[in-house]
Amino acid sequence: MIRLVNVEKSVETRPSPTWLLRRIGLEIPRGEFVTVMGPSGAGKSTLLAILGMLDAEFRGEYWLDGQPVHALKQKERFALSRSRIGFVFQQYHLLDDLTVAENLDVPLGYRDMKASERAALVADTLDRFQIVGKKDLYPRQLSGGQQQLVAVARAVISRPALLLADEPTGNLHSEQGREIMELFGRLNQQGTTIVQVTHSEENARYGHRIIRLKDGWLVDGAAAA
Amino acid sequence: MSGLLQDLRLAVRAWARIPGVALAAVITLALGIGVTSAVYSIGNTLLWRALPYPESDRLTLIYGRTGDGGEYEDYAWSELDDFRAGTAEVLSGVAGVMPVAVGLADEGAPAVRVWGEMVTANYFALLRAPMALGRGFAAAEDSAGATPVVVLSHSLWRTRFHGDAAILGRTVRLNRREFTVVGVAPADFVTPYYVGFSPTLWMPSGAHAVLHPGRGALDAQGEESVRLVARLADGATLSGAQAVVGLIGRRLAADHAPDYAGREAVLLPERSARPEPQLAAGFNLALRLFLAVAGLVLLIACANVASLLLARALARRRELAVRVALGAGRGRLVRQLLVESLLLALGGGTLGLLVGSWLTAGLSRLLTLPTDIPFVFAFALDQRVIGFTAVVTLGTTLAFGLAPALQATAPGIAGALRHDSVGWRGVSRSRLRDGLVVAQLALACLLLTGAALVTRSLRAMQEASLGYDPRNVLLVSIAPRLAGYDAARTRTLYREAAARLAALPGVSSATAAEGLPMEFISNGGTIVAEGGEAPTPERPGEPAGWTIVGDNYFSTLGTPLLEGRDFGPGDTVGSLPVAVVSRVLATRLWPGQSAVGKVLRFGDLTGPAVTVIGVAADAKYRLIAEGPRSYLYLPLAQADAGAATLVVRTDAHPRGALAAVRATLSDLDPDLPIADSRTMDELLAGRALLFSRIATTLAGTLGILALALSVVGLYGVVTYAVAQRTRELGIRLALGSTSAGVLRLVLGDGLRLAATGIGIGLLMALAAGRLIRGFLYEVSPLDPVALTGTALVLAAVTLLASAIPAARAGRVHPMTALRAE
Repeated sequence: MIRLVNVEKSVETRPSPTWLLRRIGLEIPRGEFVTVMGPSGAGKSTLLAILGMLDAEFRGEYWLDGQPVHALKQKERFALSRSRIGFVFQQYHLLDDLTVAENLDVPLGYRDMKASERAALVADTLDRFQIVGKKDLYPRQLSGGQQQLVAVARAVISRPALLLADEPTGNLHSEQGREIMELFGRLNQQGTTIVQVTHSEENARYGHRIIRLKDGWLVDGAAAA
Repeated sequence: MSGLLQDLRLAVRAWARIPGVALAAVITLALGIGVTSAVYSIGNTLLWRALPYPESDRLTLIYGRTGDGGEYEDYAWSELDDFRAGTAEVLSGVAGVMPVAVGLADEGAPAVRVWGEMVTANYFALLRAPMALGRGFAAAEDSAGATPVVVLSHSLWRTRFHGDAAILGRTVRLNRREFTVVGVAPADFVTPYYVGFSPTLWMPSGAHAVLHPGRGALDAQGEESVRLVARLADGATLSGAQAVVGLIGRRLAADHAPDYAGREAVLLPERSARPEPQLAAGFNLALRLFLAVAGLVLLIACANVASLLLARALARRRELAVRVALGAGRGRLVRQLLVESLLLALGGGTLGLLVGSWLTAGLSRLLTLPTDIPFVFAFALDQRVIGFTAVVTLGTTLAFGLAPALQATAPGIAGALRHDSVGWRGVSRSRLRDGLVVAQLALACLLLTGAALVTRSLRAMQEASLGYDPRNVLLVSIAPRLAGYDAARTRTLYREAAARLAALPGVSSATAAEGLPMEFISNGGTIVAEGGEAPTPERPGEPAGWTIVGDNYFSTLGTPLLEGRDFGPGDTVGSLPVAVVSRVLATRLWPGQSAVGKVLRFGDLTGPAVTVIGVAADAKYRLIAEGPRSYLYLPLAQADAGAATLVVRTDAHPRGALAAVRATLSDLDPDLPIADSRTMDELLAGRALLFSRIATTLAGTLGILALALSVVGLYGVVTYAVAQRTRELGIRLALGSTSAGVLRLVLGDGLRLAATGIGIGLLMALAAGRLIRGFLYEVSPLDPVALTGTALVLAAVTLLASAIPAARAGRVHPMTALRAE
């Protein structure tokens, strides 16, 4: 599903550029659950941003489902991202001004679906994630675990083939973290490819493979399991 | 569509979440738009708007002018035909028009004085004014023997005759004569001269003999002056018509030598002669300056809104980055932010137009002239200014409102999500916002300096020596001619009235005068000293103004008589014609000699002669800023003055004496119409100081507005900077900095911006000084009091604006600050 060939990323600093990623080569088949690990500054989040097409300034090749992301125009990249990818962040990043139901509706609104279809899908997702009772609450009225649950629900509502998660349990206590990871496991079993960045070895065990980064280099786990 | 509605709903909710910011932006925009549209509407109403007639840009006015710097003067009725006869190829018509006061009466009720226009029959046709009812005048009605007819103004018809559709054919009594109503003028009728003058009715020139029996027909007598209104013929150019009119003017100058010596006829486009040809250039410049100033206020307002929106943009980066991560494309984000910006612009624009309407209404009231002449200044918002301000507002809100959308969809947005607030340090001190605040303060400094200068100029005018004492003087205008008085009875009436009024308790003296200083009544011509050189076209004699006054004029007005005597009972129609002259006239005609006993003549050495019996101190007659003027006073007892003003000097406030004055006049003649009453102070405030007062009010309002807006801007920037630096300040406090140290740090930032802004503003004020030099009276554009005062006021206010958030920063608890991350 994903193929990276010699992907490199640097930022301009003086006297010489600072490398964030060096010659990354990576393949992730459909349905795999991959964990990216490494110390702070290793390039984990940078890699995730490139995979999620939030960062288009890199060198090398990035193929997603056979499409050359590195050669796509911005508009095409947005379209591809919209149709394939869902995001979960450590800070949840729910939109403060919107209710739970409205937060779930946001990604659907960007996919030109009919209002009736969107409403049905939101209702279905609220039910599936057992948060119907919270649909009219605002993020600030939810606990951290509940907010992350909504964030995951929002990430998968448009049924993305690829779910990217950046430290999804980083701000949660262990019980809430476990619930989220079990949810990821279930989503993966239902066919969603997952790439998560984490520092937690326990969370990593939910996945099939661990990729380790250090100083921007991929030091372990490049090949598919 | 549903997406758009959703965006609208979200936009309303987004602004509702930060009502303070939204309200600040809307009010700021509204103030900027309001003042700009109000100032523009003044200029537009007074000077720039086309008259409401077809092809009004082809309407012109004909004036006489002696030399390039000479005043524009009217021609006489007798010369109207000269301009008509010789201009058929270049002018499609020439109409004569003259403002007149007439007594309008219903049966059994005393007459009231109303102002109308005596016009040639072709007047309405030449203007192409569509009558609301009936017709204009027929050519035969210019003849003295024609049936007297009248056209009513729309407002007179509505108010006095209740809009009676059967008004045509009815009669109204004017100066005790019956006039048949033949038409009603359109509601939006505007006279093509004297901006704001709203005539109550119109009579054809043939009615002159009916209104003023014994004074003859206008065309034959030729004494009365007339405004000549002309319309360029199809295909004719202004310069071509000017050439033809110029030829006629030169011929008239030759025919009327030496009175018209050097006088040229000039053809002015109607719009370039507003409000009066001699005032047109100054008015235009002043209004354009004010428009520029209002534009600067709008600019400051836009900078403020830009600053607010930039701050909001920074605060929203995370939200927009999340939206991008959730699939939002650039188009969708732009649309959403567009809707938010439009909402802001709509709010600001709507409120701005309300502010503009309110300001224009207030300014209309400010421009109330102390006279019964119906001047109406209905300032109205104009479509062009609405369009202009809409574009500026939209431009600002869109440019700065859309910036976040462009940032959010730029490469590298992931940082906003990864690092959260840590990633913001680099943009916490936006140079753009700092620059906007400096620009705002500089502009505010410029405008406040201008306001301080005109305020000091007004003060200097109020304190100027006038040559008379305006305090405790009551002015009451009566119109005996409207009550059927002839010249002899009028003279007796004035002398009798003045004597009775002077005898009232609380009245120290009383007199009468045909024209008072600052009344803008302009009698004038050239005079020569008997025995001196005969005037030539090169040296046409001494230009002088004159007025007709009663006994005790000088003691009542408080104008010192420097030499000779005042007019007295011995000066009568049959006695030697006498005059009192101003000091400067005496010096110019008889340098080094006493003027008393000398003889001067009007026009040339064959003109009417008067003997000088006294020399009065120089006074200000038309403008406070004018230099000493040659002026002479002629006795009412020897003249044929129609309407005059009774001048009553009182011991206490003059308004208190009005009832007694009215009763005295009523005793004298119950039918005598009192046209108008006011105090001399009101006359000065309403005439001589009117434009200075308006200029000061406008400049002061705009300056204070600019100050308020820019201080709000500075406050916003410092507050925002403090909020962004909370962590840094916490670290500083944790590392041992005192609260005072933090306060100094924050205050220093604010004051650096303020000092830069004030410095640039003062430099701009110095550079702009020459632009307003011509509008200042006895105040230099480099006036140190105005410049220093402005700088100090700005420094104090900006210190306060910085001190409030700085004090807040000084009270930050280190742990709270660090937890903020």
